[in-house]
Amino acid sequence: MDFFSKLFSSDFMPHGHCYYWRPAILWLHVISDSVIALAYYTIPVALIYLVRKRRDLVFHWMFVMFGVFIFACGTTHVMNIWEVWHGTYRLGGMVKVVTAVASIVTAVVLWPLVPKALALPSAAQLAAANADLAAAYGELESFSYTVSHDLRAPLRGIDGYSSLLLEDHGEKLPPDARRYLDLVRESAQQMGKLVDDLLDFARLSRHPVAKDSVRTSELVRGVVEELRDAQGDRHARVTLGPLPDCRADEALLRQVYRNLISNALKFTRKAERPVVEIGSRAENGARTTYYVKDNGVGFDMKYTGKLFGVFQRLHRSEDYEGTGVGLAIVERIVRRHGGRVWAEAAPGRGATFFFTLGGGPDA
Amino acid sequence: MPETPVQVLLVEDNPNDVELTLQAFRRNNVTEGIHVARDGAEALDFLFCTGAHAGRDPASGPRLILLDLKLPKVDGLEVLRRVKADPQTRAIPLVVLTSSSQERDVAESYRSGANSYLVKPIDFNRLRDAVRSIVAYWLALNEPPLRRAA
Repeated sequence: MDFFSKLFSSDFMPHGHCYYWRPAILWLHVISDSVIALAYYTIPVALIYLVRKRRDLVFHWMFVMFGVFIFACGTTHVMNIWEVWHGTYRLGGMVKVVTAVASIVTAVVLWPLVPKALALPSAAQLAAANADLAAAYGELESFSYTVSHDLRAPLRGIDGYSSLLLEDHGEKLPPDARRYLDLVRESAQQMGKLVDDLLDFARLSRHPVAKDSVRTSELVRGVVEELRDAQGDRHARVTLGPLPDCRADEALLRQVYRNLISNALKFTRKAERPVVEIGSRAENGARTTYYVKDNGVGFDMKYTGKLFGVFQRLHRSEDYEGTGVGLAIVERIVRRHGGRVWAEAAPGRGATFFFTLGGGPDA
Repeated sequence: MPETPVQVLLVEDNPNDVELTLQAFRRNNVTEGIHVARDGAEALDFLFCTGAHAGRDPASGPRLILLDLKLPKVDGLEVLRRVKADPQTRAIPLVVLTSSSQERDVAESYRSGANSYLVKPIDFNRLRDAVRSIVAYWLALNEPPLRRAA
C-alpha cells in the first residue's frame, strides 16, 4: 500500500543524473522520446479514423487493439521524458504495466488471426473475381442480345406461315385442321411472350437503379389510366388512397405498379363488382407500406412460396393468361430498392400485395 | 429506257421474313416496286448504284428503306450510318424493322438518324397491320423529299 500512496512522489534521483545532466546526451534522449511519442500518438488516430470510415472492415476490433497498444507505448516514452527531471519511477512502472498488458493481449489475439487474415481474398484475388464476373456479365448480355434477335425469328415463321395457310387455304381444310393451326399460332405467340418477358426480366439486372423523388400518387394515376385504356376495360372500380411521395427509380416503380395493378384487374375480371384499392399505410413511424388490394379470385396462401418465382403461375392459363414473370419482376425491383414484397390472399376472397421501398433518407 | 421506280428497298436476310413481309405488302395491295437486298453489302450497292447495280438511276428510288439490323457482311447499323452520312441518300426515309427491342439497338439507330424503329411482331396479323401503317404513312401520306435532278 506504501507503493500506491507514493505513486506520484519523487523520492528517487531523477534520470537526468544518469546522463550527468550533459545537455548533448540528455536532449538526444528527450528529443528522440518526444518524436517517438508524437508518432505513436498519431497512429491510433489514423487507425480509429480508418475503422470509423470503413465499417465493413474485417477484424476492425483488431485495429482498435493496435491503437490502444501503440498509444500505451507512446505514453511510456512520455514517461521517459518526465523521469529525466522527476524520479517518479513507481508511476513509470505502472504505465509500463498497462503497456505490457495491452501488448501481450494484442500479441496473443494476433496469432490466431493470422490464418484467418490469410484466408481473406487479397485485393488481386478480388480484382480477378471481379474481372470474371464482368466477363460472365458480358456473356450474359450478348446471350440475351442473341436471344432477342435470333429466337424470335423462327416464331415469326411458325405464326406467319400458319396464318397464310389459314387465310389462303382455310376453306379447303377440315375444321379440326383449322383448329390445330390456330393452336400452333397461339403456341408460337405464347412462346414469343415468354421470350419477351424473360428478356425484360434479364434487362432489369442491367438497369441501374437511379433514385429520385417520385410523386407516387401521380404515377399510380397515370398507370391506372394507361392500363384501362389498353384493356378498354372500365369494369373495375379503382380507388386511390393516400400515397406519400417516395424515393425510387421512377421507371422501375412504374413497372411495379403496372404489374400489380394489371394483375388486380386481370384477376377481378370475373368478379361481380370488382374493386381494386391502391393505398399505403405507415404504422408508428415504420417505413411506408404500399399496397394494391383486389377482391378477385385470390389464391391459397400455401402457394405464396411460388408466387414471386420466374415462370411460376398459380392459375391455369386458359382461365387467366400470363407468363408468370410479372411478380418476379416486381420482386426483383423492390429488392433492388432495398425493400420487400409480400402478399395476403384467400381463394375467392381477393389478394393484397404489399411492398416497401427500403429505409434511410436516400433509400 | 425508264426504270420501274422502286418504292421500297427491303433489306432482310432471313428468307421467311422476306416472304412474310412481301405477303404482308401484298395483302395491303402493294405487289410491285419492292426490291429485296439480302445483305448489307447488296443494300449499299443498290443505294449507291455500285457493283451489281452500277448504272442504276439513283432517281428511280427507293422512296423508303426497310432495314433489318442483323445482316451478313455489312450489318444494319453500318448500312444506316452510310445512308445517313451521304447527301445523296440521307433524305430517304429509313425505317428499322428488326427482331430486337434491345435499348442499345434502339438508341444507336436513332442516334445514327433512323426515321422510325419497329420491332417485327411474331403475330402475322400485327405484321400486316404494321405494313398497312407503313404504306399509309410513308408511301401515301408522307411528302417525299425533292428528287435530286438526275
